[in-house]
Amino acid sequence: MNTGGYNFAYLDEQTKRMLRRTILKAVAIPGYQVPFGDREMPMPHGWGTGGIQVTAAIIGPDDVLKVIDQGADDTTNAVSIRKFFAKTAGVATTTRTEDATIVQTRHRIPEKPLHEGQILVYQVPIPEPLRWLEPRETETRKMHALSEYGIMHVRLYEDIATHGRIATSYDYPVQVNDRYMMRPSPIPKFDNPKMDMNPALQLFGAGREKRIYAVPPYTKVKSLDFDDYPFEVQSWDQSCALCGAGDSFLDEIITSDRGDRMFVCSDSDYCQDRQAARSKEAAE
Amino acid sequence: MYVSVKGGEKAIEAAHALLAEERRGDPAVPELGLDQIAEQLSLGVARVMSEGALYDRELAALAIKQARGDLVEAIFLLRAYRTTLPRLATSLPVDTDRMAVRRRISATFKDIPGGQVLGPTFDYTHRLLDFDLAQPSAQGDAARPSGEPAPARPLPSVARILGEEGLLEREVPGDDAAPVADLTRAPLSFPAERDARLQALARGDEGFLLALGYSTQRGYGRNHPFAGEIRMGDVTVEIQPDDLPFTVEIGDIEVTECQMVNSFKGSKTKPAQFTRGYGLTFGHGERKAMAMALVDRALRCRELGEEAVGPAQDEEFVLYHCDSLEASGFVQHLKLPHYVDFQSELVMVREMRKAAAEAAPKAEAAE
Amino acid sequence: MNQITLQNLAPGFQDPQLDSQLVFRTALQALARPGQIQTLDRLPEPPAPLGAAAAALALALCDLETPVALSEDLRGATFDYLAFHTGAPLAATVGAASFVLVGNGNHLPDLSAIDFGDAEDPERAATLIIQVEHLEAGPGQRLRGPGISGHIDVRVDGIADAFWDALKLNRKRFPLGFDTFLVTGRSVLGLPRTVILDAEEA
Repeated sequence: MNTGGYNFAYLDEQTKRMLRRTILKAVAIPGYQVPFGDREMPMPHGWGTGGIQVTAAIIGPDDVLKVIDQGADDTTNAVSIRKFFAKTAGVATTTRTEDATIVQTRHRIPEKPLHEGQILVYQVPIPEPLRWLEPRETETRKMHALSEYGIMHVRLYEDIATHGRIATSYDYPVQVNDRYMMRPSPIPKFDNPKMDMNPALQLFGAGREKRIYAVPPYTKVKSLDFDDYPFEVQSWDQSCALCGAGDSFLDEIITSDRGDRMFVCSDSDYCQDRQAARSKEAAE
Repeated sequence: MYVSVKGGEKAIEAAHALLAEERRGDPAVPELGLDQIAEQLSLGVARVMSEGALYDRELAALAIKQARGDLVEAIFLLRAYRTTLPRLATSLPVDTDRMAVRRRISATFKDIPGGQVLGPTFDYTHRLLDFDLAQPSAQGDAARPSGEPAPARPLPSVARILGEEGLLEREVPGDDAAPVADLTRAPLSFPAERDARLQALARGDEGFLLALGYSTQRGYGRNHPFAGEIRMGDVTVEIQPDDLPFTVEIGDIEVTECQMVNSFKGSKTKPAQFTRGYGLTFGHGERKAMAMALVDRALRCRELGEEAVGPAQDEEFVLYHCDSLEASGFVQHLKLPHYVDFQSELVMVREMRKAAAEAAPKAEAAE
Repeated sequence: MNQITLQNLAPGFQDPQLDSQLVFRTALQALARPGQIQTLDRLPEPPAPLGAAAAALALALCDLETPVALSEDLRGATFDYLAFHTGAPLAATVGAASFVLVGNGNHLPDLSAIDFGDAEDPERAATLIIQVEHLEAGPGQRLRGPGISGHIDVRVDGIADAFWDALKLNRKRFPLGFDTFLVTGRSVLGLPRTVILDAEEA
């Protein structure tokens, strides 16, 4: 395919400057959604155009990029995005979490702890935590301005009244630095605790909705809950069928049309490292 | 033994190869040239240019060819290309009064200065399949009937005629020096001004605007429209270079303009008069221009003191949902993997069912 | 563009694309890790009294869309330099500026006049770039807040005490408030509006 000549990391310099200014303001106001002038990207909205624009604005030739979708490096869209940056920015890519300077993700936070200096870029479909409760942006902007988050607490309380628990299992709302309510993107609530006081910088890009937000390193991120109904994460009775991990988020795989199933790590890098360590042990 | 799926890259490459093959179709059939698309599928090209927000027939034709005739996909291709182009200048507003008109009709007056010019329209065709077109015409170009010649003199617009009598609200000229909203640089904010709204509608999906415009006619925010004038033809685009005392013509573009005239009984702040809705497209895009004019007028409810009761009057609803790239992307992204979220829901639903099952016998025992 | 003398057109970045990216990443790190002094690798050669670090930030972040305000000592040659390299317009007032550049931290403009944003648009608030004499890790100001694990101490020489008072007020205004880069030589210190000054313990 002949695609002619595009700029480094695809975006023109003026667009990158606009994005960079937006990102700096996002970092200065943790959890607040900063509007920005979204550009059409050469992949559809919904495929991660927000995350891609954030990555394109920050990435440089010395960066090492990891891209995951559903925790895995080998899902088709992760492959596609990694290839896009390898082609347009000529950067090195990796699947190893600890080797990456930038990790772009859809729907997961890696199992291995992130370290200082790393940047985690989330692809965000709907950035507004109050959106299902109030569809109007004009209203939700006011609610954020006034820290008027009562409707969310009422909704969570109604969950408890109806179901005996908070019936939200992913995209579970958080409060950042005791101020802004924030949507963590559709990560499982299993990953929410990893956001709290994380040494890495977390950036969130929502292209179609034209918002960028951030959680600086070492910043308090609290999952909403009640004293008598504290926040808790998913757990499984099984452990990973491939690496034996009992502490990771597991995908359920249907293995036969009789409904046989097995559970494996959603984080492919974490799982492969553990498998390699196991076979090394076995060999010794 | 289960092995996690690998080879995403190979799968993508294979999909691209299949796509190229499907695009070409049967190699025994001659390949489409861009000139054929630009000349013979010109209304498709016009729509792609309009909603793709780039006036370039050849690139629009290329996009249509690459998208296998899927116009929404072609619009996406053109937009993604457009966004990488440098901005060299801002044009002056085009003067549609000086249009070299090829079609011009008014539904509000039987005769108007300059006359009604029917031009190339489907309006009075009988929608019968013309089987003669199934075969290439034997006469070739010689068979082309000459259309009505474009009048050389400018035709004053119907809006201007009504305006002189004070019956039609005046379009207050904006401050030419003031910057015009540009949604491609800064996101929408509300309340949105008319410049931003018109830009969003001009880029908006024709099908969505058509349905919304239609809904106003059926009572969801009725605004009593008359097609004051629809005109189509070529207009000249001019720029004013910095520090030069004259303007420079950079070319002609074909556009379709619709001035919808809406009767208005007045409000506390405004006397009874006719109000306007405005639509403009690149190329010949009459259906879109009319739908856009209806929706533009509906969205002016706030400034005219009308109660917003229909979806077409709801600024956030219309402007946040009219873009085909955004809508198509988000609807279709549902086919991307969501198994982490689904697994989270599975775990929760199972837990809730287990809790319910444990609670049920106890409840029975208690009774 | 009005009379810009050649002497004012000192060099900008050697490689605008890549230098901007690196400078931005340093600025990002500075704002994400308040109190941690960062070092700029790629520096332009601006006309004095504009220093290389302040110039680097301005060249990386300013353009046609960002009105800048300049302290009095920076008017003239500095503005010509910035206008030529970034196209940024001069703000009509300090309050209309997206970026406020201060040549000497001992002579601050009225920090209550700058744009703090408003409750629905806190991101509109201005960014200050202030040249100081010296930045060093160690006892001086003790900082807390997002981006800081526990607390961090930093010594700043060459900034009026009024700045620290304004910073305390700034914190009370959150989420409104200005964000600051203090610069000297190759060094950049970020002080986003979230920074909490812990004066008593310093």
